[in-house]
Amino acid sequence: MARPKERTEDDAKGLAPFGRALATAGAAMLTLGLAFGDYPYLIIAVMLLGLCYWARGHAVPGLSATRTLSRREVRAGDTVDVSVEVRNEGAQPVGLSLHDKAPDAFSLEAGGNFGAGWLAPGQRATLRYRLRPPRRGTHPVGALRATAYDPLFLQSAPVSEAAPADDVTVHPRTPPAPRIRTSAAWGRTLLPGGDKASRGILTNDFRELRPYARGDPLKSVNWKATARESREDLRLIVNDYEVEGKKVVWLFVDASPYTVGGTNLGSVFDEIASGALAVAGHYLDMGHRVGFTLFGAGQTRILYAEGGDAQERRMAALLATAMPGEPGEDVQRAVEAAKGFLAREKPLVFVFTLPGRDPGLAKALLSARALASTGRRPAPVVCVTPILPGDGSTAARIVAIEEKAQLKGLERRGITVIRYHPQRAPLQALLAKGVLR
Amino acid sequence: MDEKIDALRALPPGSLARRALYAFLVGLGVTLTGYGSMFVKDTPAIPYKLIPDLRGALFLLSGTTLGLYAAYGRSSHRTWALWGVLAFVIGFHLEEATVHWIGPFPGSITGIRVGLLGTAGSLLAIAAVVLLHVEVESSRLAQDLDKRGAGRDSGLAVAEGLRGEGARRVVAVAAGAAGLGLLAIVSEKIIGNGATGGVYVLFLGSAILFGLAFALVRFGRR
Repeated sequence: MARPKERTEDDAKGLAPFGRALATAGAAMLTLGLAFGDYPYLIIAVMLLGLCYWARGHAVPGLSATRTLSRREVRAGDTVDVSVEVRNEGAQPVGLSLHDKAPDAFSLEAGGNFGAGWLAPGQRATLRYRLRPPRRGTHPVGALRATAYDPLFLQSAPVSEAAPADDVTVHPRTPPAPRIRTSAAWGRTLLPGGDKASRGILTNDFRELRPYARGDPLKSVNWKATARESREDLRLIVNDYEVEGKKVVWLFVDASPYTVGGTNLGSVFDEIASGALAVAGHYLDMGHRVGFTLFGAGQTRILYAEGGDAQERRMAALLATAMPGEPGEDVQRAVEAAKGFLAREKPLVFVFTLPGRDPGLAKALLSARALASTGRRPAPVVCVTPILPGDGSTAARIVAIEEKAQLKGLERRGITVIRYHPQRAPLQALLAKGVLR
Repeated sequence: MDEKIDALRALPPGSLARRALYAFLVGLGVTLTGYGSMFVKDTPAIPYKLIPDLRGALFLLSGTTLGLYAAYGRSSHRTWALWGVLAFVIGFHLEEATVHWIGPFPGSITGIRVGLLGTAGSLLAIAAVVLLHVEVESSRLAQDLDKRGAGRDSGLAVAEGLRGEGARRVVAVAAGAAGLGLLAIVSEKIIGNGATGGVYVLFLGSAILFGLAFALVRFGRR
């Protein structure tokens, strides 16, 4: 169904087809009236042109609008309640339709982000709806577009932005990490570094705050945190410290422009981010410290190796705000930026990327291995990569051949390669393959 | 056929009756315009009283047909109906416009009963076409808003508000134009008729009206 053409606030020259016909007829009658010196023609011309003039005076009404979000930071799959209130600040009543633009990827769970109303001066209209974000990233909710209709329908309807967009940051949901309990299971899993790092002498490196557990020394109680947490009952909170000799894992995550591809429900980078969080969650659960480098989009960002849930949240926040597609540094530069940590911590290195795109990948991984190795024993370096479904085109086949060639080259040099189909089996399922849960 | 019946059923309540009323008003306006013409007043029925004088019925029928044509479909229907009404208006007022150039009717008829009837009928017919436009577009907007998710009640509320405001404006402008006609009649006695330059008093009246409209639009908005 056709509807009055929308125009923006700046677009003021918008008589609708019938309005133009009315103006043309008015001009014709005026010409005839002047030519013949005839009253009726001139009077009718005044009526037609007067209607057009009134319609041309139709403008964007004075509106004030506020948007309220239940949360500005959520995890993928959680819901956000949005409430938008619009008030007619003008002296004239106005017929409005309101459209609060929701991000394409979000699903509308309840209510509606489109509404309409006839607002008298001072009257309010409200939109209430609930959104469910399915994927990570920073997404704008809004802007609120208000379309004001001309009562004569001679003028196209002006559209104004009544309220600017508000950003919602969606943190990726950490996939459940596989619990590997037996030594036989460790033999089957693809993850290296199987021993649990929860024993050892406590160091002075603060790890996190946690509830008191039986056996904790009294000197480890954090009294300020305890006072904050204890509302009615006493709830002791203790400082948790890293243990000596704890293992370190370092993750490199690629956000280069070639990871942008995908649908509006999920991109290659989303898959990579999800896999990185699964692996990080696994090692953090084991009590290891995990360091993190995000490269390929904007400035390379590094998280120092730390343990605990807070580190997992920091990684999720970094991945949520990553903007793959921006030009950034390649993997070689990323390894260079982290070389101090690699040389000092001697970590187990994971690189999450798409092979066959960056010719310097092998060199960078070998460089990382050299930095992380102790003595003659080479440190394990794992390259994790999702397998993308091809469309059967020649270009896709060429890319697949290049990927395969680069991965073979990596394996020849002793780099462990883990490939997985995100649609068929997510990474966390693959890692736990054959492992008792 | 089923689609057309469904479209009729989907119309807002009362819309069909209002469209029929406005279509009739178009016919009535055209009829008044016709009877306000010297052609009709001073010429016998065609063909010279051999058959009854059906001119009034023909005016009403043709005008109502134009109105019914404008009462549905796209804005092009209203555009053609508007030009149809204007054809009647121009045609029936032509004898007055050319009265000083060709005989046998001397002088202006604006001030006499026949001229008033014709001008009022023309204003009525044009106002009815514009009202039909407002009615049809407001109904379409209500359906459109409903389909886009605003809900039937909200869509109807917006359409009702716009329809009321639109009708008020049409009536106001038509009243203003009619007032201008009265000004012309009154001032004709003072500054002369159309034949002696009195018609240009309309410029003064128009300027006053446009000045008023400008002030309303510009300063009366908030």
